Amino acid sequence: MRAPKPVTLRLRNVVYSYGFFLLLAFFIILFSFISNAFFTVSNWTQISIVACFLLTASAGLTLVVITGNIDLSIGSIAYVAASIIFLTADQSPVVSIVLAILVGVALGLGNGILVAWLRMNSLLTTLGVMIAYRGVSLVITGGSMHPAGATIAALGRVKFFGVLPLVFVVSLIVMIVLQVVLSQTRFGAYCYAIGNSEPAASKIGIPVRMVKTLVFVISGTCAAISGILSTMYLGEVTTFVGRGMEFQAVAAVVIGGTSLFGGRGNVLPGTMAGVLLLIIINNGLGNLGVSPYIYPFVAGVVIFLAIYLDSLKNLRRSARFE
Amino acid sequence: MTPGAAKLRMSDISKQFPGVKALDDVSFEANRGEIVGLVGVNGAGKSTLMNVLGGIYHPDQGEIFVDGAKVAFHSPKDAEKHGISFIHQELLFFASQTVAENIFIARLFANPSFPLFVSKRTANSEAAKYLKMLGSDITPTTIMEDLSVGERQVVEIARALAVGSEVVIFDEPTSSLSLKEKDTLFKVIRRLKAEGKAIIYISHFLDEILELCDRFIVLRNGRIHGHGDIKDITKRDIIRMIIGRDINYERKTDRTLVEKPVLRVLGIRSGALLKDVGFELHEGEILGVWGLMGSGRTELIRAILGLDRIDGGCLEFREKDALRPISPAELLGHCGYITESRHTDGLFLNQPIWKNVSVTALGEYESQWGFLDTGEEMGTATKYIDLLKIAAPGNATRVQSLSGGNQQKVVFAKWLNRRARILILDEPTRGVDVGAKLEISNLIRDLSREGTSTLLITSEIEEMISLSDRVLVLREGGIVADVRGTDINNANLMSLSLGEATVQ
Amino acid sequence: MQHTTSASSPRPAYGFLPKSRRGIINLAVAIVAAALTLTLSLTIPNFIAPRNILNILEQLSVLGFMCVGMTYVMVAGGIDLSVYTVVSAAAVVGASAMVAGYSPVLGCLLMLLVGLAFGLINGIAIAFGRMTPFIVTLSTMVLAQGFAIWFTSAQSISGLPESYVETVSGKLFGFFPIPAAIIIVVAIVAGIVLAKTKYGRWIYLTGSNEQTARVSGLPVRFTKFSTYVFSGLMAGITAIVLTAMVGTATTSMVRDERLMDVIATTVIGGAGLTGGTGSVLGTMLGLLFITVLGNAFNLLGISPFIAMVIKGVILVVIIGLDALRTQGERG
Repeated sequence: MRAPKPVTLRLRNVVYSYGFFLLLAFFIILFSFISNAFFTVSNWTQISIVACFLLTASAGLTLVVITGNIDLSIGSIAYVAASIIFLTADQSPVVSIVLAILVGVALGLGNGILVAWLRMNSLLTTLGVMIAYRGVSLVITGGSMHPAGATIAALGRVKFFGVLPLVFVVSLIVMIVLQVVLSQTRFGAYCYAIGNSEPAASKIGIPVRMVKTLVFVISGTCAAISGILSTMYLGEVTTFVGRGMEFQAVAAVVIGGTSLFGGRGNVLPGTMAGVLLLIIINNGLGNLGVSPYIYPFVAGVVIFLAIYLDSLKNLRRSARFE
Repeated sequence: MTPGAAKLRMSDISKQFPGVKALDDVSFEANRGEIVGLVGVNGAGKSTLMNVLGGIYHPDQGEIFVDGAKVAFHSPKDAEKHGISFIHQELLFFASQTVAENIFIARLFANPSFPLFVSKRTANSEAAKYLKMLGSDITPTTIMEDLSVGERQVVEIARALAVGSEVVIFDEPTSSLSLKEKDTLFKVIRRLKAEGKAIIYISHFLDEILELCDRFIVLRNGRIHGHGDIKDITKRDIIRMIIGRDINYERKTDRTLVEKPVLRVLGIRSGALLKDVGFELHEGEILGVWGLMGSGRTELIRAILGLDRIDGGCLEFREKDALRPISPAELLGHCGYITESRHTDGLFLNQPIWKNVSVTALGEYESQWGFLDTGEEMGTATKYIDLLKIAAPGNATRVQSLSGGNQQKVVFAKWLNRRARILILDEPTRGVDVGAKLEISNLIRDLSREGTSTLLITSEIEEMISLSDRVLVLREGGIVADVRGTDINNANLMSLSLGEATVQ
Repeated sequence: MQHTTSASSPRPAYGFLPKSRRGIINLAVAIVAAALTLTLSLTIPNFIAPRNILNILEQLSVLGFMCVGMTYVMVAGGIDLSVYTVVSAAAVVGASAMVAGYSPVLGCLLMLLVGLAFGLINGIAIAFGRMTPFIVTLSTMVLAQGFAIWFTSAQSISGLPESYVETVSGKLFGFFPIPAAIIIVVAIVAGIVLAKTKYGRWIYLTGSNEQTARVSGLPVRFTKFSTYVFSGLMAGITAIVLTAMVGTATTSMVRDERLMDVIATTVIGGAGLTGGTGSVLGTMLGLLFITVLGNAFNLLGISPFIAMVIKGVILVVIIGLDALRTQGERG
C-alpha cells in the first residue's frame, strides 16, 4: 500500500480546508463567553430568521459556483418573486407562491440558456440580466412598498414549538436537498466534473450544457424561494428584497470553502457555515453592545481573509500541476 | 464476429492533405493479447493513422474492421462505441473527485434500493476490481489530485477498461513519467495484454518498443517501411527502417564561420531533465539542437531563458568585446524567442499586425512628448509585411485572421524589430504550410548571414540538416555529440539520438 | 501532419469601416445614440434646451470618472467592483476633515488619498499576490463600505465649507457646470494616454495576452497594478465632485445599481472581460447614450425602471454578439 503522507502536510490541509469552521467556532465561543444574551434560544431563533434568506439563495448559488460559473442575478430574481406575490395578492396564497417559484424557474432557465447554449460569460451576462430583472420588478411594484397578503404574512410568523421559524425550516430543507443532490446523484458528480475541467467533461460524454442550464434553473428557483421567504417574514414587498444579496451570497459561498475556480465545495456544511459566520458576526457584536457601525468593517475583514485563504489554496494547487 | 479475424484491421488506408500524402495505402492489424509498436519520425504518418482510427479524420480510401466486421468512424464517440480507447499524453481527469468517480464519471452506478442516487459503494468496489486487474494498489477513494502523474495515467487506463475497451492505444505515454512510473506502466500494459486486449503502442523510444512489444510497424513518409516480430529484429534494423536509405537531405549550408562566441552555456543542470549541459553559440551561427521527444531540448531552452528553474550552471553573454556573466532573465531581454505555441505566448491575437510588431521596441516610437508615433509603427509593420511576404490585406489586419504561417512570420517580425542578437527557435515551422516553411527557412538563413546567432530546435530532420551549421545531439538530458559539416546527415543524427554509435 | 492550418483567406479591408465586428458594434451604438438624440430633440420640447444639455452633462460626470477608471481596468483584463464603495469611504474621510475645520484643499487631497489607498490594496493583491480581480475587489468593496460606516457611525456629514461646495459644483463662466468641465478634461487626458502613449499600449497588450506581453518584455505586473490605482484615484475624484454636488457625504454616496451601470457602460463602450479591447471614447459614448436615454425617459414621464430594463437588455445583447463573434472566429 501507499506510504502515508507526512502529517505536517495534512495539518496544513486541515487549516486551509476547515479554517473558516475554526473561525466560526471561535466567534461563537467568544460571543458566548462575553455576552449572556448570545447563547440563548431566543437569540438563535433570531439568527435563524435573519440568516434564512441568504442561506436559501446561497445554497443555489453554490451549485453554480461549483460548475465554475457565477450568478449575480439572484438578488433581482428574489425581488421579482416578491413582486409576483404582490401582483397575485388577490389569488390564493398557494397560487401566488407557486407562480412566484415558477417565475424563478423561468428566469433561471433564461440565464442557463444564455450561458450554456449561447456560451456567454456568466459574470457579465448575469450582471446585465440583474439590472433588467430588477427593472422589471420595479415596474411591477412601482418602486414602492406594499403589504403582502394576510395569509402570507401569517406564514412568516409561524414558529414550530415556539422556537423554530417556518422560514428557517424551508431554507434548511432547501439546503439539505441540494447537498444530497450534490453528493448523492449523478447530476451532482457532473457539476463537480464540469467545474474541474469542462473540456474533459464534454470529451468524456457528460451532457455539459444540460447540466449548466439546470444549475442556473436551481439557482433561480432558490433565489425566488428566498424572495418569498423575505416577503413572508417582513409581511411586505419592499425594494430591499434581495438588494445586494448577490455579493453577500458570493462572499458566503467563498468563505464556506467553495472555490470560484470551480470543482470544489459544498452546501452543507460549507455554505451554511459561511452564511452563519457573516450573520453571527453582526449578531454577536450587537449583543456585545459594540458600536453597530463596526460590523460591516469586521465582516469586510473576515471576507477578505477568507478570500485570501481561497487564493492561497489555489496557488498551491496550480503550482502542483505545473 | 468472424472467428479467427483480427481484433482490429485497417486496410489500404490513404489520406491526402493539401500538398502531402499523409497516408499511402497503409494496412495493419492488431490481435487480441498482442502489443503492436508503431514507430517512425515526426510526420511519418503515425498521428494521422491514429486520428483516422479515432474518428477525427475520415480516410480518402480504405476500410476499418473490428472483429472482422466493417465499421465507419465519424466521431471519437463512434470509435469508443467499438471499444477503441486512446491514452494521450494529456490526461483527462477531474482533480477534486475520487479515483472511482473519475473511472465511472460518465456512467455512474445507480443505487439498487434508491435508483435516483448513485451507489458509491458499487463504484468503489468496481473501481477496485479494474485497478486490481491492472495490478495497481491505488485506493478508489483517493482524491485524484493527490496522485502522481503516473498513477493518474493508470486511472485513465482503468477508465478505458471500464467502458469495455478491447483496443487500447498509447500515444507517447512515457514522456512525462519517472523511471519507476514507467516500469509500473509497463506492468499495467502487460496486464492488459494478459486480459486479451489488443494494444497499439506509439513511442520514439526504441528501447521501450523492444522491451514491450510483440510486433512492430515502421511508418515513413506515410507508407509502411517494415513490420515483423520484435524477436526477429535488432535495434539497428529498426533504425535503418525508420531512417531509410533512399533519401539523403541536401545540405545547403557549408560555410566556414569565424568562431566568435556570443553565448556560452556552462554546466546547466535541472533535476533529472538536464545533466550538466554546456555549449557555445557563435556569431552568425545556426546551431541545431537535435533530440527525440523527452531528450530535454525544450527544457534546455526554457532553463537558459529563466522560464523554468535551474539547479546549477551559468551563462556568459558577449557585450562589447568580452563574454560577461549574465542572468537568464537578462538574457531573455537580448533574445528573440519563437515557439510553436504562438497563440499562448507569441502573439496578441485580437490586435492588429502593427501592434504585434512594434511591441518589442515601443520606446523607439515615442516622440518627445511621450506619444507613440502610430504612423511610424504602421510603417515598420508594412516594411516587415513586404520583407517577410506576409499575406495580409494591410498592417491593421488582426492577427487572428491570418493563417498559421503568416502568424508565425508576424512573430519573426516582432523579434526582428528588436534586432535581437540571438534568435531561439523552438519548432518554428510547426503547423505552417509547405510554402511558408520554405520562406521561414530562407529567412533564418538570411538572418544568420547578417550576424544573428540562432539556436534551432526542430523535430523535422530535413529542416535540421539543411539549416544547421552545427548540431548538438541531446539524449536523456545530456549532450552526446557535437556534429559538424558533412557529418550532419540523417543517419548520424537518428542513430546518435536513438542511442547507437555512429552508423556510417 | 499533426496540425492542419485553416488557411482562412484574409478579409478585405475597407478604409472607412471599422476593422473588427466589435468596432461595428461600437459604431452601431454611436449611431443609435445619435439617432435617438436627434429624434428626442425634435419630439421633446425641452430636450435640446441648453439647460437640459448642461443637466445631462452634469449627470454624466457622476458616473464618468468611475467609467474612465473601469475602462483602464477592463482593457487590462481585470474588473473593479470596489469602486463605488470606495467613493463613499473617500467622501466621508475628506468631508469630516473639512467639517472639522481643515482646508478644503486638504479635504480633497484626503479623498484622493483614500481612493488611492484602496486602489493600492487591489493592485497589490491582484498584480503581485496573483489573486483573482473579481474576488479581491469584491472583498475591498465590502471593506470600503464597512470602513465608511464605521468612520461615520452611519451618520451623514453635512455643513461642508461653502467655498468647497460652491467652487466644485459651481458654474464656469456662469453657465457651464464645473463637474462637467472636469470630466471632459479627465476623459480627454485619460483617453489620449490610453490611446497614444507607451503606457496605454502596455495596458492593451497586457489585457490582450498577458503571457505574450511578459515574453515580449512588457512590465505586466506594474501595468496591472497601475490600472487599479488609477481606478482608485478616479473614485477619489468622484468623491470630490459628488460630495460637492450633493452637499453632504454619506456612507452610500453611490447606490449599488450604479456599479452595474458603470460596468455595463464600459462594456457597451467596447470593453470585454477578456481584455485588450475598449476605449475611453467608446465608454464615454456609451455613457452619453445611457444618460440621454434616462434623461429622455424622464422628460417623457416614463418610469426610470423601464430604462433599467432596456439597459440590462442592451448589455445582454452586446455580450451575446461578442460571444457569437468569438465562437465564429474559433470555429
